[in-house]
Amino acid sequence: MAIESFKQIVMCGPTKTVRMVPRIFMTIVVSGLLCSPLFTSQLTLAETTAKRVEDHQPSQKKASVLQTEDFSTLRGQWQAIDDPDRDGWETEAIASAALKKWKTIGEFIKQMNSSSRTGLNDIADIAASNFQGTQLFPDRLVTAYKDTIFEVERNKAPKGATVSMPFEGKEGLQRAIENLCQSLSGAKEIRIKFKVFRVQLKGKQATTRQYVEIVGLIEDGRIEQHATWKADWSIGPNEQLLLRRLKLLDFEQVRSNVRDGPLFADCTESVLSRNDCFAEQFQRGYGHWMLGVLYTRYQITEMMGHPGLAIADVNGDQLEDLYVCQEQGLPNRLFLQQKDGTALEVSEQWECDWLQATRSALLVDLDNDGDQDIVASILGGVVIASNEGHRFQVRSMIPTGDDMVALAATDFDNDGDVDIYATAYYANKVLSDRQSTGLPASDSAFVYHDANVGGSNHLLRNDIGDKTWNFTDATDSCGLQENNTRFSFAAAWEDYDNDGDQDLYVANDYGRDNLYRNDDGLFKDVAAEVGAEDAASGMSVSWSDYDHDGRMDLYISNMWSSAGNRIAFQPEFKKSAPAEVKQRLQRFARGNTLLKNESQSRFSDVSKKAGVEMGRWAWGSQFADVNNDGWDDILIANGFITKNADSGDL
Amino acid sequence: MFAGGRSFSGRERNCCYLNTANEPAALGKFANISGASGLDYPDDGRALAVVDWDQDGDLDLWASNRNAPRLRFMRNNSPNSTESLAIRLIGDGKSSNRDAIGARVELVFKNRQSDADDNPSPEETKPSSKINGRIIKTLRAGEGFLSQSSKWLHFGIPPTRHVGKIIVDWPGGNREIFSDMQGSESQFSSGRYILRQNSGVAKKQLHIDRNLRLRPELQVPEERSDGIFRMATYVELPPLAFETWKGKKQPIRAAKGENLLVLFWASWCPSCLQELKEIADHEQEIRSAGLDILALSVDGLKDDPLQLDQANKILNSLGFYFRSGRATPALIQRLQSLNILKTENNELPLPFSILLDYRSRFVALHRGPVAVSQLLDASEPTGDDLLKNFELASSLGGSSLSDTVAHDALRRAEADGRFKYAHQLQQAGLLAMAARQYEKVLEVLPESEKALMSSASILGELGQLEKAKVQLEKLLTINPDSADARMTLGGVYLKKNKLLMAKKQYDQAIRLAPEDPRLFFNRAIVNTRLNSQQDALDDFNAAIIQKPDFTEAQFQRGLLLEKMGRPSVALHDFDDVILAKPKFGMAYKRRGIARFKLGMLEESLHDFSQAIKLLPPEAELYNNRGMAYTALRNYGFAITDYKRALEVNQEEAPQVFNNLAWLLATCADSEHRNGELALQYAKQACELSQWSYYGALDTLAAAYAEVGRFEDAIRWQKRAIAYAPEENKPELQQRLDLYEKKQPYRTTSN
Repeated sequence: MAIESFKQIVMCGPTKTVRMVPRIFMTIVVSGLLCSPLFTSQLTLAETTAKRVEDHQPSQKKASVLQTEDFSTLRGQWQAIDDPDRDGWETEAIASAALKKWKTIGEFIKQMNSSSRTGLNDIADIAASNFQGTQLFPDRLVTAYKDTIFEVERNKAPKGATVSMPFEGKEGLQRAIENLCQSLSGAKEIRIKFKVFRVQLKGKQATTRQYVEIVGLIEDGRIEQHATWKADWSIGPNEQLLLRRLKLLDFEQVRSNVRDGPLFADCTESVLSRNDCFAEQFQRGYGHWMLGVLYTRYQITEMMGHPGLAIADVNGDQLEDLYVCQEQGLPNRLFLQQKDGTALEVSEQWECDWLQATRSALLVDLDNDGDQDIVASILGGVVIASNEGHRFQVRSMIPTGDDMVALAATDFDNDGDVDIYATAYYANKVLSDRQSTGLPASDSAFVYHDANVGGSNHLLRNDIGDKTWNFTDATDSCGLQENNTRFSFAAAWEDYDNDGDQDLYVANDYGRDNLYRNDDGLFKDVAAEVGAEDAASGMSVSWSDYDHDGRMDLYISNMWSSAGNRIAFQPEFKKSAPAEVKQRLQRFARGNTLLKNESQSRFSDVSKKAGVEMGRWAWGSQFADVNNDGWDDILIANGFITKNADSGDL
Repeated sequence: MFAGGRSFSGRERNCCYLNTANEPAALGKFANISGASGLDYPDDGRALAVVDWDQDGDLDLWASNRNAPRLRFMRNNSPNSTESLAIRLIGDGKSSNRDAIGARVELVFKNRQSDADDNPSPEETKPSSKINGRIIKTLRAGEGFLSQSSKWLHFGIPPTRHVGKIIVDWPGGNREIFSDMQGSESQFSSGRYILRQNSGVAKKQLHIDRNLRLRPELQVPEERSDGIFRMATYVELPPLAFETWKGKKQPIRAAKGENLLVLFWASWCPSCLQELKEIADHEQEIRSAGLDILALSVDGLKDDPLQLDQANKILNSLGFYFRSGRATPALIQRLQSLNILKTENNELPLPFSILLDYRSRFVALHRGPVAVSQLLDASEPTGDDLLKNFELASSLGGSSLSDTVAHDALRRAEADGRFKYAHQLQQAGLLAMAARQYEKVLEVLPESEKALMSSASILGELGQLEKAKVQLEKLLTINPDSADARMTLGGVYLKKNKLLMAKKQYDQAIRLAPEDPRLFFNRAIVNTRLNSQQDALDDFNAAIIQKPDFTEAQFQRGLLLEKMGRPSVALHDFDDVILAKPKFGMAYKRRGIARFKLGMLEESLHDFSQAIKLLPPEAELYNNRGMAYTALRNYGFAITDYKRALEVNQEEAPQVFNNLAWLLATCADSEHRNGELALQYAKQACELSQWSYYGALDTLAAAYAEVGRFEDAIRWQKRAIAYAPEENKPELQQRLDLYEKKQPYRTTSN
């Protein structure tokens, strides 16, 4: 009898023993977790030796790096671009191979300047036998600027004539480098950095452009060189790069002359070290406080780190004091300057040692009584406290939103008191729509280069009366709801059109900025109209009439990304995207912006010509005349997150 | 990223650009003086505030960083510091605010040679001279990034210039021209001036000798990551376990009414031993404070584990008589997965300890040794005052801003943290714990769609269907267009076996999100249960078209196709599933069945064997393989498998008894025939099928025939025929004929 006859029962029907319950999809939450669990197979141990253990010994078991997961990033898209393996950009492999060669050359230059010249033949292998190169330290330098502190020299651009290539053959490269080294002779502690910012690949030929930065100490000052080199490579078997031509495109050398060190010297310790918090709080990175953090530890809602600063004389002794904002769970600190220049921490006595996440604060006289009151953007809104001579008294807290960032005060309606503008980043911090990709909103709603799903900024009109500390939300009534859902990192007031009232610039992340023109207390966003949109990752804004033409100009921090530059300018980049989108994305890698206020109050972007684009991953930037020559210079604070394990930079 | 070990645009050096606009040769290009200025620290820089802190006539800087050092005071050592003018404005407090924020100050120069004001004249349109004429500045409060600079407006004075006059445009529109105290032939010398509105006079501040104690010094950030990390909110931790010295796993739990410190140490770590010693020395105090200690050795996580006698030797020598044991890699991993253990360098600190309260909630982490006095301080349990707990959690002092708005925001932030924690628990499969946390989140944020959604879906999985339903209905009143909520509600109905209501939710959800393959999948399952096979197939097809690697859908479609009598098509699905998930035992099982039905015996045998390897023991699998062996005439193996099947499951396996009895009664190979045994098994098969299943009766008859009891065989065979369906009767009749001729039945050998 055949097996498939009725006799043989295959248990495939829905009998008791067969239960095949399909999984019904019920769990769908995509959460904005910033930290993924860390599972590791390889554990390493290291000993922490605490202060009170006198006879501590160095770790006997040295730790190696645990395998961490590749965490999603705040700027996930850039990271995707930044990762050559992930994106499959062949040119990125070239760029990284070229960078290795430059590092070898960098080491060579350092050795040339040190007493022990070991391993000097290392760079001969880099050049091809038919190598040709220009001078890397130009013959003809022109003094572009000179005062008692700084001397700036630049190469004189050759006119028309063909560039001479005096260095030839395999040894030519070494001679060119040696020639460059002569300009550095006597310099100590030399530091060299190469950044490859363009790559082109054509068959077996590649061209790279790179910034070369050399800094060293000289007697009574420093020497600093910035150059752009263009390099032609041939790609041999095994993808080996050989340098065929090396051309100096651009050269600038700065020498400073300040007795006993650089112009700026870090004197923090002498100012602050008498306070306990100096060592306990300010010698520890923000990362430290997030160690061992269960999500509920401090209710930490934000991890970028945002220690805002405010300066004013809060106790009326004619010395300026400092208020330092701190993240969630860390107390804000007020330092009173003493006559000897040191500062005494008094935040507890002054009742402003708030623990809630505080992004920024302003010290201004809100009630026109001659002392400095305090306004702070803190978890939940804007807090306002009056100066009572020896302490601050909280007068009101305005629930503007959970994710307030910057504050900027001015008397926008010219009624004799200062009003406050407060910016927000996320629309709703709590259980927000942030995605695991690290982008700030759900993918469908979020457009990287033109995001419009951020928080709302607020204009708070000062209506302080005799006894009441009222602030009225005038955002709507003054027309400031226009374009008010961007991710606003910074704002600054200025009368850009010289009509006697204060206009407002707002720098936004992920897209366009706003310039609100004040028309008798009513605002209109004219950023597009006057050419001041600067669509990129706006982090900071500062005003100055840097060119002394009587009109206030703008400097805006963004991100400069060498990887972004390398890729975004290649024809293959986002091939199918519309030209406008592509340009916008390219713009994101270009860096900081100097907008010159021209006649008729229109702005033109002079960043490139002025050479002030490269601010790296920039945050705060300020105009300030550092050498007292009457002309405002530009300062830039930058860098996102530094950890021990390096991943390079953008 | 923030918690991981990688830098991201890290070690970037701050920049500084020198404005060279004064020099025509510079062609409007700033000079990069990042290095030469001394500002190029590789900090993760954030805010920059500008101030002449020491009042020496040049601009200093305060900078803040994300990493350490978190503050830098950069003092300007400019040798040109005498050439500057600083102005502080004081408004009248009526037409303009007292701080004069928004005021515009214009400095008008005159050349040192001519003393004449620099009035614009034709030749001064040349950049070099024209722009030297005047400088404007506005007093601002708040700019840059999170920064407010000094209210003293600072003007550098070019070497060849004097300041002739100062023009102030006060906020509110008044313009005022200031001279210095000397009057009309005014010439301002370097220094600091206070300009009071409506005074017309710039009053110079007298220089005071301040005896400054400012000196450059290298800041050395704290590299060690030790410290106490207290929780602001205590939460229940997932189950933790350690290993006793004898190798037994035991849960880490606080004894009733006591707090528990779990201390991790290693025999090679001197500071660990020191800490153990200190604890041992204070045993009485610690115990009477209601604190228990569990010391877990981490020896062995990387090197050799500590043995009982070694451990005893060490602990006894220290006088340590609290509980002890070994930390397992699983325990460390769990602490890491909870973010409790992390360092910037990705090293585990030693010693470290975690404090659990009397309800086994996580209270604090100590990285590095902790003093006994600190332990005794910290063991006080606290109440539910959020603001107070928030303050207690700080190791640096500070106070909570207690305004209602601030308090509410903190509660929301806490709920946010709880939500993330709940999600983490959920991902770790700790559903009941996660559900409890979600519930607390909803107490604070009852309208949060995300919390409702998460909570409901987890309750659904836990079978708390009514509760889940209530939450989903609430969510749908808030957002009727939430396809996710409808999907989950559909799931709840499905679990309650309300198929039509489930289908209705899926129909609506699909209208809202017509490209979500999960919805089609779920509806397909409903349709399968409703026996709407063609609709189910359509839905599965739609799901798989939208998501070609949707293996679950492929698997279920395979089952459906098999059920629809299309095993050859089903086979393709199972092939795909196995390709994608080679460890998915169920797929082998189903493919084995399909292949068996299609006569692919060798292949089905292979599949059943794979399934047996991958799945927990199951009677069905052995039975199926036994059938395959039988078909392949590998009777010995077949019998072994049937017997194994019976070992796994006796009670509910009439089929196995039947199959085994049939084989023993009718096997073509006499070596494997065993009539007596066949009879015994056949009777059990009949018993289990209530003596009413014709197949079992047929087998019983065959067994009687085999042992020569033909009358019994004939009797039972007749009854089998009576119960059998029409189409099977002829075959059974043939066997009856045999028995009547006193011949047993034999399966053919081909």
